[in-house]
Amino acid sequence: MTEPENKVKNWPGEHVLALDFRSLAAFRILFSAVLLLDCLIRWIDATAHYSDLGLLPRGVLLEQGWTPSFFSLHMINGQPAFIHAMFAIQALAALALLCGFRTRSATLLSWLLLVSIHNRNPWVLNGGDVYARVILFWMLFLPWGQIWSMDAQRKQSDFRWWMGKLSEDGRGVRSMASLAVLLQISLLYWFAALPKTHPSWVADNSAINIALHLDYLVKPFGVAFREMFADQLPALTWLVFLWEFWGPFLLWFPFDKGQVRTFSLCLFAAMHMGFELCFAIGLFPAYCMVILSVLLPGWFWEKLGFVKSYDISLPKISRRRHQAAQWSCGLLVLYLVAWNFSNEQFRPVISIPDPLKWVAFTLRLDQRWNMFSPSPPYHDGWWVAVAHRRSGDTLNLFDPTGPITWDKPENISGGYLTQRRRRWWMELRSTNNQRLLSSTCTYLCNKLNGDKRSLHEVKEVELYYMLELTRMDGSEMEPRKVEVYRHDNFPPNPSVPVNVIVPEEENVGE
Amino acid sequence: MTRWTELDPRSLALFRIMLGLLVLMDTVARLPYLRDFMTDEGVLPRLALVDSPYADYWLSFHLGSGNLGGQITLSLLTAGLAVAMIAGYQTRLATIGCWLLVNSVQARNPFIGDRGDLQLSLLLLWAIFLPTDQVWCFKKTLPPRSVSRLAVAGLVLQFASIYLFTALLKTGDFWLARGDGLKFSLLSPMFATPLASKLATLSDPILRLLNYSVIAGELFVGLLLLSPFMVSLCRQMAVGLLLIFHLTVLATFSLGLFPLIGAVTPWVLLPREFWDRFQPPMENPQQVADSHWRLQARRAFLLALLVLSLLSNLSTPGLERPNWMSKLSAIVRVEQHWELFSPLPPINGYFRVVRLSPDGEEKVLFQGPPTTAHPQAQAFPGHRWKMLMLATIYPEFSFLRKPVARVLARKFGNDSSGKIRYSFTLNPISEKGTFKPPVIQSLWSEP
Repeated sequence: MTEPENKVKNWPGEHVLALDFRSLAAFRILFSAVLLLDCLIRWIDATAHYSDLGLLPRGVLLEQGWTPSFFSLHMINGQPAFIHAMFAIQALAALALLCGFRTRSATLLSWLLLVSIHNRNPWVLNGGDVYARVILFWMLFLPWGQIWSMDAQRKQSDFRWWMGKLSEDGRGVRSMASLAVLLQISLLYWFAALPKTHPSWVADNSAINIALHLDYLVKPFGVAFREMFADQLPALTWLVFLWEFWGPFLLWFPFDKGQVRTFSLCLFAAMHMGFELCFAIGLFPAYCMVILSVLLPGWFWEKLGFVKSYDISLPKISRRRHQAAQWSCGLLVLYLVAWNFSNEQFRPVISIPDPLKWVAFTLRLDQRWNMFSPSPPYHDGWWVAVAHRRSGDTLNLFDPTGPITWDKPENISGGYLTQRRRRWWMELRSTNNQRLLSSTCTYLCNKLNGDKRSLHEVKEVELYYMLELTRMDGSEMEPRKVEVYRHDNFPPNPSVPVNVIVPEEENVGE
Repeated sequence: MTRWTELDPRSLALFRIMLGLLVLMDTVARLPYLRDFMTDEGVLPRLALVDSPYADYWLSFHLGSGNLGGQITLSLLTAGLAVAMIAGYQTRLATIGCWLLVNSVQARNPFIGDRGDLQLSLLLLWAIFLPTDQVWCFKKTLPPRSVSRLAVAGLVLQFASIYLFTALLKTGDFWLARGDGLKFSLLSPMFATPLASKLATLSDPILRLLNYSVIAGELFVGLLLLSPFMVSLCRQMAVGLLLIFHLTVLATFSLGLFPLIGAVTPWVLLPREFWDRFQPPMENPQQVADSHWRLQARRAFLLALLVLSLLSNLSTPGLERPNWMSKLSAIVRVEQHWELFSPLPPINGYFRVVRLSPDGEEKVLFQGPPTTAHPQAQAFPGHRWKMLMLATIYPEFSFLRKPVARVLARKFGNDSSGKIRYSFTLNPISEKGTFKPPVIQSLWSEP
């Protein structure tokens, strides 16, 4: 099975930089399952989020949120039918990945479509999307379809010449891409911890308490947890902060067979499970948990009894081509590290020169991991939309059959069918998205009015945000009504921005 | 004896090679203008296109990226597929790819298109359904695909309809009543070459004779192509006549790739009797028919294409179609209208882009094309630029005037101070067929 010249020499920490085929295969199955789920969830809002008839027509996107180096296959047409077709292709590609059917092509297609859909509507994304995107990119260079796949059944090797060499035990791959995956996972946690400089993290340790008061994010379990373990929250805050910074170092521990890494992976998974239980942050925890599985060492699989050896046929290639591929990946790894450092205010200052930024924006390797940094937001709230019909009646635009109410909803985070809908409305709170407010109101009005003109059609919308501030001790202030936008659905009168909610740019914590 | 629905494998292979070469030429010809026409920095940023009422139903991959890198990548992909077509490697896939990308580039900026683009797209569409890789190819499809009679019929009717409808639409005062349509076409500086200007000096009776000859010739070629009798002879005559006709057009009018496409693609109709003169007769390869349901599905699709393209042609003279049908025609890209230089000959006049300096001095940045009155004027920056500038004359495309004027001013003038004015000087033609005094139309003035 092995070709000695293609193996790397043994050293104590050899397993650290290698990825086991079993872990890669398990990761492929889990990751593609989440990818498929992600695709299906997005599909619910295909027209609203990705077509020209929705909240973000292509024209608005190009005006407001397009970076010249982006590409998006979803921009090639704005009709809902086309967007549905793209979702069907994306779902099939994810399914092919899950089964390991034509894994290379499925990986490339999945990555292209993922980047494409992210670029089509960047305002519904969260950290999980960025994480999935960059990890999927590195899978273009790793043989995750080598075993436990339909390709393996058909004796089609997924190991290509640019993928590096076999690890010492012949059960894994060691390459710049495998190093990149380990580094990328570590970078996520390191650069999540480093910007947490606010006293809520490092002095009074109130950050988790504050975060658990964010009504638009917190789940009922989170509220119960906050009430039940109020005294332990400062300690938990400190633990999370410490673990995010020190935990990744354990993933690099070389002096064992992988037991320390397995243990630290379990702790990371537990942390994400905690996030999942307390916060409505979509598939972020799911992506984080499945991505951890790629680092499982061979020791773990042997303990589970997966000890079968695999017949791996390695492609024959010249040493020069192999080195060129590895050097290219190596340069990208350095670039990514520099990119992460350039996001923060460290000394010495590291910055990516402008002429080189297109690489990250085209491949969408741009990333920032400042979740709840430097502190969780101290304000949240809920939206109220008052619609005026042509006949003079008013109605609740979000719930046309219900009354207009200014009271705080029972469960704000649960009021949205999908996390991406919630994300969209969170984005609308930002100061510079008046154009998005306009397109959102237009979409909602048109949805309600349909094609017919009548006295019952919605003519004007007043959009309010019920702003609720949280004090440093976690207690909440009386909500304040802020009129955000007044929309005339039948110009000539242009829509007039009335006010803004959030005084300065803020990180909403996802 | 050649049947009406028969095409020789060697003709089909030649057709494939010619189409590949034409796609390659088209792609290369567009390269210098990618930034001007295809990127967000050019005359038609994606924002302007998707917000205009002219965003096509077609899927344009070129809308996926707004920068030059993305456009170059797609151009390289198109060129690669064209080379694969020429070589006959993965022919059907390459043909489908070429068709998709050719339509994609056309849909990205529909205002620089010409009839050559339309013809290329239509021929690529029919080529998808024809076995063009039976000979002279790198890797032939095994087993050989059967020749679909409907696809052959579609291709032959496509060629015939171009010439028949072109002839039938040459009506009105210019082409039929006075017979000076050709004369004014030759006099128009928009498309005429120096040879055309010389031909335009011929006496009126000769020009009138040529005018009617063109109409008769187009009708004759169309009928030759449709003839069910003496198919071999008729097709050889038609191919020969079309070659002569399009080479003449090439010499007299600057129409991009259109004359070349018209000259070389009809070679697909060369019958086997033609080839047998140069090569030993070829045995028909053992063809394997498709499965029943695939055959039926293909037949239904091809029949639908045929009907849609026929109705699209008939709609030009005024046949009413349901809205969904014209939409469907646009989606499958068989929407076609062949009113070439008809019923009116090309417009006569010239464009001017001037910059008014702050002290009131007028500096001409661009004036063209050269006319009899202004022989020293500049030529258009390229064929696609010409098509775009012609589009700006029409009020419905007025949103193009500002970006066109600005990009032209940038191209032809280094100094950026002062206000730009973009105008067209029209040389109107009276009802009697004589020129009237010029009329200056202001297209855009910088406020």
